Amino acid sequence: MTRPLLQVREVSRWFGGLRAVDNVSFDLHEGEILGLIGPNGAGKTTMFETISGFHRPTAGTITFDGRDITGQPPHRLARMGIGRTFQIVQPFRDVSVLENVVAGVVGPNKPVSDARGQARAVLERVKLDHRASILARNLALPEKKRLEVARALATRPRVLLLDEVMAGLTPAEIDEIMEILAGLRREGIALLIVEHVMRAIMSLSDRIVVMASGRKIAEGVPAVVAANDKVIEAYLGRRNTHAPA
Amino acid sequence: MKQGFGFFAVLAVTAVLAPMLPVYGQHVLILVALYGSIALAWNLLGGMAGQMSLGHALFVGAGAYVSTALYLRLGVNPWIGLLCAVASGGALAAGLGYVVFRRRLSGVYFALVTLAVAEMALHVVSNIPALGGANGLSIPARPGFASLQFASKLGFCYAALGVLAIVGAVILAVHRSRLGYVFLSIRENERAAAALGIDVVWGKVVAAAISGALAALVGPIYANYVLFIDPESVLGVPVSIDALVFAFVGGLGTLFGPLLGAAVLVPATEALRGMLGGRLVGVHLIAYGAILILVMRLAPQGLWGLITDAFARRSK
Amino acid sequence: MDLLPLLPQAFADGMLRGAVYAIVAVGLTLTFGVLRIVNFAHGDFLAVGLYVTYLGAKLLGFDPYLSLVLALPIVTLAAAFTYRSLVAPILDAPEHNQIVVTLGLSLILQNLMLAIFSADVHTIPSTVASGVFAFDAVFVQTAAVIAGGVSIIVCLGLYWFLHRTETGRQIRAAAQDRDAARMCGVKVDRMYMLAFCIGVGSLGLVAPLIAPFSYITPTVGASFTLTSFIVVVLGSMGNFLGALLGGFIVGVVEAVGGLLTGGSINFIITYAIFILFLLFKPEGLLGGRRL
Repeated sequence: MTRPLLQVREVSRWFGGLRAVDNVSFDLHEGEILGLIGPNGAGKTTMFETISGFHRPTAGTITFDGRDITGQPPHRLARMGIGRTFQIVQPFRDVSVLENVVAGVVGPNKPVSDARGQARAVLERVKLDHRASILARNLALPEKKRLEVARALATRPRVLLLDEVMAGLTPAEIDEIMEILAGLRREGIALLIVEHVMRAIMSLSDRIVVMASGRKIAEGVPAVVAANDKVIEAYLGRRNTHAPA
Repeated sequence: MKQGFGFFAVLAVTAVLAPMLPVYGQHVLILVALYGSIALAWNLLGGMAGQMSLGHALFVGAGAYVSTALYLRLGVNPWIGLLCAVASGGALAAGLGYVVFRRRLSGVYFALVTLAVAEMALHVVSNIPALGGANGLSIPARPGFASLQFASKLGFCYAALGVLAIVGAVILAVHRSRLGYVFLSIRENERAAAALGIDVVWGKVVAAAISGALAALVGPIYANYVLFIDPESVLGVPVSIDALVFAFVGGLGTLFGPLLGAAVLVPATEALRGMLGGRLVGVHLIAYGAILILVMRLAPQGLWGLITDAFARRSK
Repeated sequence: MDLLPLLPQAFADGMLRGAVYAIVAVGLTLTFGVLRIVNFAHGDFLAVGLYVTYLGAKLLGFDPYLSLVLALPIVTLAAAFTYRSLVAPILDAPEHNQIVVTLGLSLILQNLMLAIFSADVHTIPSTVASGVFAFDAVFVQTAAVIAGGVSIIVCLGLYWFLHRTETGRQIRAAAQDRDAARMCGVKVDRMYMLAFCIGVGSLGLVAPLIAPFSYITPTVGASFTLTSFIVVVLGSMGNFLGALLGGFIVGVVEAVGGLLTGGSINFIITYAIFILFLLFKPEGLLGGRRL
């Protein structure tokens, strides 16, 4: 088993008296897709924001590739190789799709040859290359979502955090994104996905972490997690004791 | 690329035509070039990086006073004074920017701070006798390249066009480099910018520093042209407002829109002033106010946007 | 120091000046502090009220206080018109839109008044409240004391209105979260309009009050605008009692500072305090929300 790329250890994030994230630990390995699910209010978004540097953990540590990155600001994490998308997609509206991705290429401030060429290559990976010169504000929603992924990919991440990237998409569009994400895994990028579209995350993820009320209540391969009583209870509210075997 | 070529082509043509202009026309040309430079500098921070300053007069005035005071009080060569002016404008902007931006408060906050600091500077300078106080400083006329003065208006035309060329070159260089994308990202969405590896605070400070330095470049040229500066003329709110109005009317966030704004509004204002004599002071400001509102509501991309839209539609 | 005996007078002047600043700024506390609407033309509405008062005196022979019946409706109508045509359409637009649009409005108002009334300075003494009170060695104008008293009443009144009435609650709800308030049945647009008209319309009340002891020029509004922002930040955003406190502080600092240093240094002190607060204590003296 490869050494975990990202290690979340006993991370808590409190807002005043509210424990949005309470003592959560899990690992993310290279080339793995880890799904993060849970009912509304479980603390998934806060967990996400904490890992990506937009919140500082109240307690706990986060390690990336052996380095302690707890409390580092987002731009440093991005330069280290942690990329993320945003739930409400906000591309840079008044410039072209290509320019959006170029911004991602040059963002991390590392020496880059042929930024435009690299950007085009990224667009090909998300199948947006035919829309390269369109202004971002004229894209349809699924295209905006793919642009969001492309922009994050352009920063050459080793870990990509995806925040409900499939929300609002039709089943066909979801399949499209799933293909792209599977492709990313083949390239060796680790993905941490927060998602509500169950069939997608269950079939795509190698492992699942389930959160409820700020705590981790289950972890494991999708099949095991789906049958877990606590998980069912968290989603449905009561134990299904009369379910057929 | 194309815009840069167009810009320098226009400058070159203007330089060639300048000797043929009447003296008054040359005066207007100098004003357009200098005000346009201030507006372009303002736009780098306000339009490209999205941080609206209401006190850019601070940097213009700092440039004018630094070079003039060094020359009159310490006999420093005006060309060296020019460099000092640019450095002080940049340093002042960077310092102010750093203290403000690291607190991550909203844009109104930056607007208020810049307004207050510029006003404060005006009152401070008015009370410093060594800087001429409220009566200002007069510069003795010593035409000659060494003293950054020119015997004819034409000389100042070329100086002003030179300033414009420098400002334009810097803006182009920024636009083509990573810095251009940094400013764009910060303006559009700071959180997304951070997630792309951009240090937002640093980016804003750099934008402020470049903007302040370029605005300060105009100060000494203006001072040596008019041979007189006082707090009202170089540190006053009208200077800040003008920069903002030209940038908005020309095209906020476009590369050279602000120059277009100045090229349209400065001659129009001069003409209006000429027509009304001294009778109705400030009438042009009513027009400015109305134009500002109209542009914001109807054509946020300014004149530049209207022109490019018209061309785009024609080529369809 | 032989300035010491003059201190009580300066202090009294400062307190009264501060009361004026407070009552001018309290409207901005409502529009900017609560509603977050940036209005750089705030002080110019006061100037409009002052010129209406002036016209009342010159054309109709009204005592300034009587001109209240003219100034208040006119300024409030102007506020309503401004809100509908300029502010409401850009409530959700980027901040700089509001800054620029209200800046444009300020330019128009100031220079219209300049064109119509010229830069001449006017005063309108009141026959009703002329004269001076004397406490010990301190002399204060009657009109100023009246203005001071009304200022305190208005600040307290607005505090009570916003925090203890149903309408006030709705305004605060609308200001905090427009969508959530809408879902609770609050007529957000109407609340915003009401609050804006109260905030700016209050200047129609203030103008006749301060006319007896103020200079009336086209640019008087601009200095009041900046001072009002200073008072609002100092007194903490949205805090009406803070507006009183901030106003008094600015007034006293200006008056006492002017006594101690002479010249325009007192403005520098005010700006310096403002800048220091913005940089190091943007939540103001009484804490709470920041800009």
